[in-house]
Amino acid sequence: MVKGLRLVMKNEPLILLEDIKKIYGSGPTQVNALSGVNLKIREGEFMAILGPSGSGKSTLMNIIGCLDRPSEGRYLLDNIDVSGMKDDDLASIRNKKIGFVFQMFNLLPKQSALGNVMIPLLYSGVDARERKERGLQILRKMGLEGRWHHRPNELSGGECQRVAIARALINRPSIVLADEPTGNLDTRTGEEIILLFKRLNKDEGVTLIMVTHNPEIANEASRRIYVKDGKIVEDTAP
Amino acid sequence: MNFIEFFRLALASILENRLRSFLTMLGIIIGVVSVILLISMTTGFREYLVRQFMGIGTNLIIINPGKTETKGLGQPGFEGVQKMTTGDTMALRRNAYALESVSSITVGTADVRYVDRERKVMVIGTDEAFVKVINIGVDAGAFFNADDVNASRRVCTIGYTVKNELFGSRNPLGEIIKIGGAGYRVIGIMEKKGTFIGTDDLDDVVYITVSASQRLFNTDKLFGLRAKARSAVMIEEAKEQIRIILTKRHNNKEDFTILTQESLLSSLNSILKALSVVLAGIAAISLLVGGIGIMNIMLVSVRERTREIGIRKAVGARRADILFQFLFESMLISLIGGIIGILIAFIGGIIISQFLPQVPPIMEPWVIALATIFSGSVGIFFGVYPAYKAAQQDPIQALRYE
Repeated sequence: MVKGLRLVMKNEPLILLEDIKKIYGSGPTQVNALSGVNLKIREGEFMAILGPSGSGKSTLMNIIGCLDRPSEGRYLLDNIDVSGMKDDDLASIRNKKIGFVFQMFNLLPKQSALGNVMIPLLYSGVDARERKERGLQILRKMGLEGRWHHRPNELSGGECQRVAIARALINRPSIVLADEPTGNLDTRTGEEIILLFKRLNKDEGVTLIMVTHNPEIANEASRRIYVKDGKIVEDTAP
Repeated sequence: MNFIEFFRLALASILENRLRSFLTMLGIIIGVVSVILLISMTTGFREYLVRQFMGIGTNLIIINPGKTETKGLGQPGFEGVQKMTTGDTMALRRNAYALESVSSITVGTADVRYVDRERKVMVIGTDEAFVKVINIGVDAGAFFNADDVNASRRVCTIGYTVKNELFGSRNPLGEIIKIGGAGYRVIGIMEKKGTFIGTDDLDDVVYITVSASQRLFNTDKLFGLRAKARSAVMIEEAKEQIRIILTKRHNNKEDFTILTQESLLSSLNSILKALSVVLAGIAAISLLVGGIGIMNIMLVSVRERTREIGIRKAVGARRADILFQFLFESMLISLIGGIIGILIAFIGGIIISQFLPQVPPIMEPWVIALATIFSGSVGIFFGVYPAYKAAQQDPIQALRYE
């Protein structure tokens, strides 16, 4: 009985979306970006979100990433209902539980690789020495040990994206959200980044959610969902 | 995040844009320099006035005919006023024991001639007590004594300018000069006093006995009396004694005014204080303009760094984190500007005192403290709105901003 309960707990999804709706505007100009999304994502999954532009996949991504709140529905992240949280509480959730990887890297141009990687720790109250220690450690893991003092404009695209991944991982988040992470990279570098993601997912158990419209890259994921007109139209989950 | 982190962040950002930061500071720098220099210069001028007034004599009491309730400088009108005479001087000498000495004063101008050189000069008629009451010494020869005064001897002492103008390098002692046509023997040369408040030349003067001067100007009226109290604590007592004695002599009418150096200074002081407030107020406007400059630049900076704000928010910055980041930046810009301004004002003060050695600007610590606090507050005040705007950014919009 006790054993069974534990099993249920373990199978509790990391992310649970229940009938999520997102409506922009009101009256005749009203736009339903999401109209009733239900989704369960378990810990350790590597999922790709596919869909044409305007399908609502960015909105879905923003809601999962706690950058935005759903208009209706319930969102449980790690068993915490985040759907009605205030901005500052959402900021804390993003800081501790979510890592972002963007298409445009979104690194601060005037900061070194290390400086960029350390930013999330600044907002979780980690002191300067530990910030540097953990920053160097994670950069080493990304194969950037000799490049920590370089600024983004002195790094290649692939290196920039690895810095961004290091930044996403530094606070040991529950999930990493990647928005077109290979969109700004050449094919070979893109493949390297996907390989890195797969390794992180397999070896470190990092839960990965990746938005892409490249089916080839999406095929690398263990699960794919297709979003169209604000709804999930296909889910390859078993 | 603690304040040290915000401070570091702000400093790094200021150093990244050195030129822009400096130009932004310029308004504050100019404001602080002008506020400090203007206040310091009026302070210096006030100190100079105090020195001048206190330099006239120690524990000096000035008694002028005519009653005025107004404190301060200026000669009250003579109408309906009983004249002041040497009899008053005698009465005070006899009865006012709080006084150390009393001296009669007459003032007029006359042509003073030596051989073929002539000059219009201020003629002061007085008595032997003058050099005790007023802080002035004799350089050569001697001042006239009580005998000279009582006998109305035609003797005189001359100021430095008069000596130079009439005698040049010759020794005037024992020579006869003509004052208003009558001959006077020069028995002393007064020490050099320079100018008073930068106007009257205190050395362009001839001193003769009061009786001789009354004859010269054909009057028995005095310009006034000058007295010296025995000590500073006795000044008030002395004033009271003077009041009682002279009122009694003047048919029980208080038709004279008693002034002290303090009372003269206090009215001057209040004028100068008002002046320095006005000047500092005008200078403070430039601080205000500087503050608006900071606000302007910070608004541009917030817009420029929209993406940075988005990134920071995405990775967990709360509203307060962004707010303080920008607020610290504007405060620090303003504060550094203030400190640079203080340093420049300090150097400026030294330079000014080279050109105006008599009236050196005096920089009081409270002015520096005020400038520091004020510049910091300007930064905070004008930084609040831009920082608020930064903190209000929506992370999704901010991340999309190009």
